[in-house]
Amino acid sequence: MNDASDLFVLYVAAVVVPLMFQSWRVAILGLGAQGILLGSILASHHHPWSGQLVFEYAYLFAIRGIVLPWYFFRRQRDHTGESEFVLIRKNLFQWLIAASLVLVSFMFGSRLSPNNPAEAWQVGTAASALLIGMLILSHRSGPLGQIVGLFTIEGGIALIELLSPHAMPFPVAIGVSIVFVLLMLTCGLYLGQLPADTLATELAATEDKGVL
Amino acid sequence: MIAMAYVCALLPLAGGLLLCAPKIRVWRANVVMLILAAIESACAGYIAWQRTPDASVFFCDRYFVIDATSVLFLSLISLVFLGVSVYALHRRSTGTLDGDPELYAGRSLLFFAASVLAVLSNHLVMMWIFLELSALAIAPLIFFGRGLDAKRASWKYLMFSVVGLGFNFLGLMCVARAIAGGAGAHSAGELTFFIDELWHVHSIGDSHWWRLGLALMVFGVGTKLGLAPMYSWCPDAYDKAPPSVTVMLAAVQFNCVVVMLFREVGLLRSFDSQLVSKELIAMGVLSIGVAALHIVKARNYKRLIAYASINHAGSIALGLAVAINLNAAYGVVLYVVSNAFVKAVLFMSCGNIKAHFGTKQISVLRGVIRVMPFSGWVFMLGVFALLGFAPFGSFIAEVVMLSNMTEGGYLLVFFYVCVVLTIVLIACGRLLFPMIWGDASDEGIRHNDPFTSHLASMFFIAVLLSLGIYTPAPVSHLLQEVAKTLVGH
Repeated sequence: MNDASDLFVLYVAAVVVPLMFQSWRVAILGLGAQGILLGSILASHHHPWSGQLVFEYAYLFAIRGIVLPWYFFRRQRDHTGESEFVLIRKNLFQWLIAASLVLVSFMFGSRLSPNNPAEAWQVGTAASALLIGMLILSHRSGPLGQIVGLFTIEGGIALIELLSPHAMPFPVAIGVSIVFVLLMLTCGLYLGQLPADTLATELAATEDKGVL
Repeated sequence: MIAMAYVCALLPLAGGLLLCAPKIRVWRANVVMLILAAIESACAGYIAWQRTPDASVFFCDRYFVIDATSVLFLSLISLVFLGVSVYALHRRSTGTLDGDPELYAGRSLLFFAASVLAVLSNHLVMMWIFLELSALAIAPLIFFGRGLDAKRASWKYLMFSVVGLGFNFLGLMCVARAIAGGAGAHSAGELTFFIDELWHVHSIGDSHWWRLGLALMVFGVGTKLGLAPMYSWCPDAYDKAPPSVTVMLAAVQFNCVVVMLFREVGLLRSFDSQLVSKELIAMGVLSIGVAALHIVKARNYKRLIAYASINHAGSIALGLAVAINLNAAYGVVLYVVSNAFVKAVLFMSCGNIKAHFGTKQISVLRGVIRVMPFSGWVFMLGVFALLGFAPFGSFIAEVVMLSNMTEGGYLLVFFYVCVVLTIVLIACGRLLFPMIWGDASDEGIRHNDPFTSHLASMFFIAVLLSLGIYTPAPVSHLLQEVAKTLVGH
């Protein structure tokens, strides 16, 4: 194991550990930890210093690592709607599914990049984040749970983006980070406005009544 | 022409920011929105008129382009947005559109600005950024002046939209990784997402990365189009949103995503047409089947039209999958253009009918055409166009697409589509025709249904008829140019 693979192990931990706690605070902290780790993984690539690199660090460490958890923490504290918060149901079967997803992700990573162990680690970690994010989303556990799932998927995508040896053009990088910030703010709008119960069931119940 | 393109890109943005700015009160925001939409349409028309055929003009450091695809879709979404502005003004004047008018107009203009920029983009990630921004702008409009159900639908839309676009972005990153590998490992291959440069990429590098990226890109765009299996946001959002917002979702945003699909499929088909076709066929077949099942058991007419939209998206995917020659691709482009106007007409009519009767339940409505003559006629013509009756453009497009399925040897798909279309035709007829022509309980009471409130819909119906009977040569040439980009280089 080298430094980079340590970071990937920590990243998987930041994704998986919140599943074991019924606490929205831990879930939000997990998102912040993922942001910090993304910045650290970028730093481990030793790119030459440039204005764009500084911007990328600011985006990953400050926005993803600090502002995002702070913002959702405040929004959730102001609207304490989700007293019984769960990302996935707390039982052995669900944890087994989560563990299987992580295992499959790393098998997938090693198959996709058989000759490049570092890349295989990164792909495995990103795939874990994507699949665990999808697992959280599929539980429809309320707005905050879905936000955690969504940003876990976003983190996985950002990890794959970091695989690229060349940075995006600077205007594009700025655009991507603006989208991220606006997505965060828009998601925050819904917190407290939607009840914590399942979203799909009630819509299905009203869909054929023909009234609004 | 470039100056006009800048006006097209920046005018709605400036208008939207002004109207959304706090502490600035704008006189009659909906009138301002209408004026800006009219200027936008005029500029789009000017660009289409001035453009040299078969040529591309780049601007703003090549991030944006004026070519056949961008001109066609810029004109299309500008016209639809103008229609939405006229409709929203009418709804506001009759008191059937609640909420702060400035916020509504401002957010609509911001959404439209992002849509225009997405259509004009020559860079795939830029296009992705503007599609994300358009989704973020329109999501709060879905519950504008509405209750909790609409908020839930809006949230669902936002989740699916972001995840779908996320998959698309992931696909782009995988393709970039494949190209970087193919061009000589990590140091040599320059990362590019400029569409015109991607046309010149010949080596695809690592085939695993390539195929993974391709599959994710198509899946992501499919989610945004409302294709199965990720379609459940579509009926909820279309049903619960105010009618003008539904039109923006179904006819403006849908077409921006179609532009992304066209750009990506046109590029990717050159490398692996089989994989693209197979994935599109799978999603298309599943979508039209699922949509048909929902249509059969629909009880809500707006939701029924929403399911028909999924059916149309599936047909577009199938048409694109089998579009191996210029004629077939022309059919797909014509279908897409017709589909935009059909959905605009139907959702606007649905809004008028709901405003009068106060219900969206099909079973309690009878003889709409007698109580609301103009709305009834417009709705009826819209349903005919939806079902692909002659002489609307959608009829020609469906015939071309079906004939190409047989020519291309996709006989099983052809048979399946024919069966599903028949089921949809019978189900729609059984549900909607009594609603339009049945005996109305309040037949004697004619609702005040002014001709002027249907100006936009009638114009769209005229365009649909024109596309089916006589398409002017410049328009036909433009459609052919777009079709050329779909069959690959």
